[in-house]
This record gives sequence, structure tokens and C-alpha cells, in this order.
Amino acid sequence: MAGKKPQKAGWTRRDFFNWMLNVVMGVIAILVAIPSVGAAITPAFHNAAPVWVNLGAQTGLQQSSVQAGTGGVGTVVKAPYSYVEVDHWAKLPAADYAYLRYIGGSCAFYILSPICTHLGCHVNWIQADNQFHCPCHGSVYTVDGLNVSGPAPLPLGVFRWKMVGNDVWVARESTFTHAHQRTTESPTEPCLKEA
Amino acid sequence: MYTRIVRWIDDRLMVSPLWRDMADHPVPAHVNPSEKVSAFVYCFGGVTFLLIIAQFVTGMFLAMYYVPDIINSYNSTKYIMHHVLFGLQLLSMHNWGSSLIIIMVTLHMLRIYWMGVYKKPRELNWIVGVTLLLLILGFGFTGYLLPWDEKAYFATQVGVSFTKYVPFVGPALLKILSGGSKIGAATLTRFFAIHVLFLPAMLIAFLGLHFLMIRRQGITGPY
Repeated sequence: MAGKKPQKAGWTRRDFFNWMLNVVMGVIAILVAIPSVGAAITPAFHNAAPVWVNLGAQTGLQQSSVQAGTGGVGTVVKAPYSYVEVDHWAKLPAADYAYLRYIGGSCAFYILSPICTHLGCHVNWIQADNQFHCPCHGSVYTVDGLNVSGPAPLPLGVFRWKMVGNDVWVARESTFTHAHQRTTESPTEPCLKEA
Repeated sequence: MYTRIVRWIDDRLMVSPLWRDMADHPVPAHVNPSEKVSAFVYCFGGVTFLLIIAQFVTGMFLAMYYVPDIINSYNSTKYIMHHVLFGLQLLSMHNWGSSLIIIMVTLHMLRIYWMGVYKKPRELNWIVGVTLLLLILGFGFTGYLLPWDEKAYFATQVGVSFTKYVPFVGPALLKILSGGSKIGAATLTRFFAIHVLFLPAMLIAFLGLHFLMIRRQGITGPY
């Protein structure tokens, strides 16, 4: 500032340049922050669509459920399925299972998620007790998937399902519950068959 | 509020004087663009530093999605471009920023060279500066491979092939640089590690030296 007049008090040249510098740096910081923060919070805006998976032919599923039961009444059987899991950029072959029971009538199948509503373990079907037992913390569910004992806060999820030709397809939803999550214990045998 | 927080910290650590010492540090009138517009040539180094900070930030966020693996790196890059919120912008900023840095460091070096300010007593800072230039070129070279597309693959093939011509140790160098006898999975992980771990660590260290020396020795005019 050599050779310049002394600055007046108040809004000085120096203040102005300081202010300009702060504004420019602020704008740069915002420009960098927008896409960075956007990328970081992207998962909050992604809602996974259900993946329809094939459990197999209806007649075979019905037979296995009836054969496992007694007196012509179907009971719970494991219905394994395999599918291609699209995990963000990765596509991986994956396999899991549902618990399927033939209940007759117009609804035909009652298909439960094997995922415990407590902390997400796969529950075991115990034919002798007519119950599902969770191996992790001892939650117990009835044949309809209602939570009757242990820490489980909710009934087992129920799969939405539909017929495609002669095959039964179920809607695999979030990794955490697999199926439609019941929030109350009201309908014991909801029919989630879709056209 | 702001003043109170600053005072609270200063009561304990007295950091304000350190900050003021940096922020209010006087520079000669001839390097101040507000005195003489042509003095903007003295800003190339500072602009490079700003761009480097932006590269650090964008790079950290890109690493949330990028996978250094021959099966997934191309797909994860595509995922960033098409499915991540502002992902294309983030990737582009990192991509364009790298080119801008190389332009700015070149201009910075030319300014130092033409003004002859590398001369005694600033030879050490010149050496550190050239090292920084090499580190930045290293960033560019290793980062280029990471999307694992065709251009990346063959550009890297050409780039590592140069090492063949180093006398005696050439073939060994080629294998060390590419992590094997061809450009493949090991090259990608190697380049990724160099790009995000080794080079940033060295860059920070050398930038620190660079700034300490310029502060110690001050700015000198053109000779």
C-alpha cells in the first residue's frame, strides 16, 4: 500500500478484499460440497423394488406341503429358491428359502419369510412343536408366524405371491425382512396372492 | 457466538496469533494482484493447492462407491455416473480437476523458471517443487487406470511399457510397476493403493515442506 492515502475507517479496501476472498472460497467450498454430500446421502433416496423369485411348480409345492403334513392338511415346508441379486454395481447368484404351507381354499398358499423380526436370523421350522424357533435368541412363532415367545417384536413377514404359468413366484423385498412386514398381529392367514 | 467460540479456544490454546500470522502475512506489493493485475502469475501455486484440496474431497467421496477390482471397477464407475446423486458431477470434478492441476503446476513451474527464483538460497524448494510435480504426474498416471475401461487399460499398457527401456533393470521394473507380467487384477489394486494411499501421504509431506520453505525464505522478485 506504499504511496497510498491513509485508509478511512469503516469499509476499507482491505475489508473488501477479505470479504471477496471469503465469498469466493465459500462458493468453491459449496460447489465441492454439493456433489460430495449428494453422493454420500444417495442411499437415503433409493427404494429397492421387490425382486420376484420363482419357487417352482404349484403342484409340486402343494404336494410337498400336504405330504409333510398329516391327514391331508398341508404343513410348513422349506421352499428354496435361487435368483440373481443385483447389489448396486454387482450382480451375484444368490439363494435363499421361504416357508410355504398349503392351506387350500382360494388362497392356496401361505408363504412366510424365514427372517426373525428380532435381529434378522433365519428361523427353523420345528415340525414336532408346530412352531418356528429362532436359533439366535430363542424367539418362538406359531405356524402362522405370530410371535408368541422371546424377544421378537413382530410376526414373521408374509410373502406377496402370484402365479406365473404353473409356477409360484414370490416378491422378495428388503434384505432385512424378505417379505411384507406385518405391523400388527391381526390377520392370522392373510391372503397376499396377487393377480 | 463465533467470537465467543474463538475466545474460548484462545483462552486455552492461543491459536489466533498463529492464524493471524498466516492470514495477515504481508507480501511485496509487486506480487499483490490488487496492486498490479499482472501479479496474478503469483497465484498459480495457491490455485494448485485449492484444486488439490478439491481433489482430496471429491476423491474421498468417490471411494465410497468405487471398487478396485477387475470385475467391479468398471461397473462401480458406471454406477457412480448413472445412479449416485450428483455422481456424474463428482466424477467429472475429480476428472477435470486432475487436468487443471497439471496445467496449473506447469504454469507455476514456468513462472518460477522464467523469473529465475529457483536460484540460491531456494534450490531446495525447487527440488521439493519438482518432486511435487512428479507426484502429481504419478496421481494422473495411476488415476487414469482406475475406471478400467478400454482407454484406461491401453493407456496404462503404453505407460508402463516405457520402463522396458531402462537399462539393465527395465524388464524387472516393468513387472514391479504392473504387478505381474500383464496389466491385470494386480495392476489395478497396485495403482489404486498408490493413488489413494502412497501418493497422498507423500504429497502432504512435500506440500508441508514446500510451504514451510516459502514462508521461511519469503517471496523473491524476478531476477
